[in-house]
Amino acid sequence: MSQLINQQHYFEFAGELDAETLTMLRDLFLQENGEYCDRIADLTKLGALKEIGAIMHSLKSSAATFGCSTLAERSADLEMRAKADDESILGEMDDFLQLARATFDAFANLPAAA
Amino acid sequence: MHLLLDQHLDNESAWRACERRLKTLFATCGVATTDASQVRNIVSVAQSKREGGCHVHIERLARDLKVVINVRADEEPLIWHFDNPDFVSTIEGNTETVSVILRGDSKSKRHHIAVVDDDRLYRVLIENYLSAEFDVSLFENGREALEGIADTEPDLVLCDIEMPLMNGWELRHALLSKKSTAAIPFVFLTGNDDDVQQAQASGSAVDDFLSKPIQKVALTNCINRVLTRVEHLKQQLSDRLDERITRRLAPETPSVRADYSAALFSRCHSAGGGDFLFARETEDGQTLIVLGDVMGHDEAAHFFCYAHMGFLYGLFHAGTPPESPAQCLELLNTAMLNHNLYSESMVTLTAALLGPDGKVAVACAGHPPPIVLKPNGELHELEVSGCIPGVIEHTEYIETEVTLDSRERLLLYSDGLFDALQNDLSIQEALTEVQKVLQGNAESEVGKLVEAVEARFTSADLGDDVTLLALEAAA
Repeated sequence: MSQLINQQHYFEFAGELDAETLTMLRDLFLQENGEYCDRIADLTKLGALKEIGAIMHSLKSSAATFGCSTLAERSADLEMRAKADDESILGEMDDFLQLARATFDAFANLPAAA
Repeated sequence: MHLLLDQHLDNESAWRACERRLKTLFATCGVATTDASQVRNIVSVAQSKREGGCHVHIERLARDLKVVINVRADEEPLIWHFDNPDFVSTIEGNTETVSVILRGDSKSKRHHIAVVDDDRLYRVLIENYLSAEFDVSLFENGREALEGIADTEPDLVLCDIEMPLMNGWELRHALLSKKSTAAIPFVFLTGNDDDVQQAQASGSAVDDFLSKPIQKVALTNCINRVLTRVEHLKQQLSDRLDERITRRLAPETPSVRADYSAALFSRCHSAGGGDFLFARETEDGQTLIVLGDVMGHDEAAHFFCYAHMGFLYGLFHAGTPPESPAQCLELLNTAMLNHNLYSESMVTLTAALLGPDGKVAVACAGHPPPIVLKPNGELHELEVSGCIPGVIEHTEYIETEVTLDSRERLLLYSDGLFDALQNDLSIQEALTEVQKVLQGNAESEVGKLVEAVEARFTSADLGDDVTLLALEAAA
């Protein structure tokens, strides 16, 4: 868990929010990004690089916000390459989705606040 | 509480004029932009959904406004949700009448920030970060924001770059191309460092850049820094304008017919001001006085003071001078309806005609009614009212006539007389305070009476322009 999530960053972020908002944002983060993963899987089969790049862009920002640093860095790299029409990323998507789901599992098990 | 508007709106042009005045009214009273927009929408919906129009009633007491909108009984119920804690709404009796009390307070006016981001998570997060300090409007993309920003004119736009339909760059260019939105401060919030570099290199009139992920402190610091910079620029421009022009606008004691005495107290909340006083002798030797209060204290208020004064001057020197206070207000009403120049302003007016033997005719257009101060200290408010000018075509203003007996004074004033002390006192305390001063000097000659009022305001931290004109007929 500690490798996937920068806990110091997350708890600082959580400390700026009231409990209700934090819960709502956490739920939204997990729900939206779960949907993103499903769409990435579909888009990978279609080879739709542009759309994959757009999703990586959103994933990158929200992952960074919640301290999911590894996922954020990986999304940023894939976003850049997708926008450069680098088809080789399609072969990396299984690994990426595995990372994403592991991150969300770890995040879901993280206490809401310190 | 004095009447600003009590009108049945049954045609499109009447509604459009009313809508403009409401917008100006809410803005100058410091009502939150989102709330003001909501109330205007209520009137718009009520007006457009039916034949026969709707009835709008607006009263003002200092910074409080009361807006009552009557919707006909056979209409389907309209439901409104108000989520600003300062915006108190009640439904009276049934859904046919909606009464909304708007508490405006220019002292604590919150800035309005428009947030544009296609990422729902970010919209929720930023709203949470900002809502304690700012009014926030949320938009999902540039296209949606373009419409909303033109309508609500926020104080700052915080915008993501990569969005569907219309991205941040396209929105920025669209806003820059419109006069009304070009000067709104604009901050990009982006997840791409490349975007920041591109923005810096493009010279696209962006005020600042923030990178995602964003921390609350960094976000609020950035917004406050940009807003402060803009305020300083505005203040510099305003000071220059005041130096050159607006100090000459301050009301002066009018010259009145020989059988009356007049004394004036006038203080501006800021340099220049929104109160003006015009006096001219009519062809039959009477004196027509017009006291106006243009809403707002900024450059626009100064400008519109000049515009109204210019119109009145033109009437007396190049047109057909009005023969009565009501006719004067009716001519101003027509001018405000017909000239686009006045569409963004709102003014309230009292006109008085000083005749022989202490006879004074008075008409009001959304202005607090004059008061007669009797020698025993009794205060008698004249029963005279009429709607603000520039809303309803062919408005007829009804005059009230009063005969000033010996030692009775007629007091014409702008609502700042009671409102201005609110920085120090509650409205009730301010009312009592001014009444005490007036009553305590009821037997003094008008000059002394006005000096006594002025003394009370000397050290006050004014929240509004104050004008008091005291008139007395010769014994």
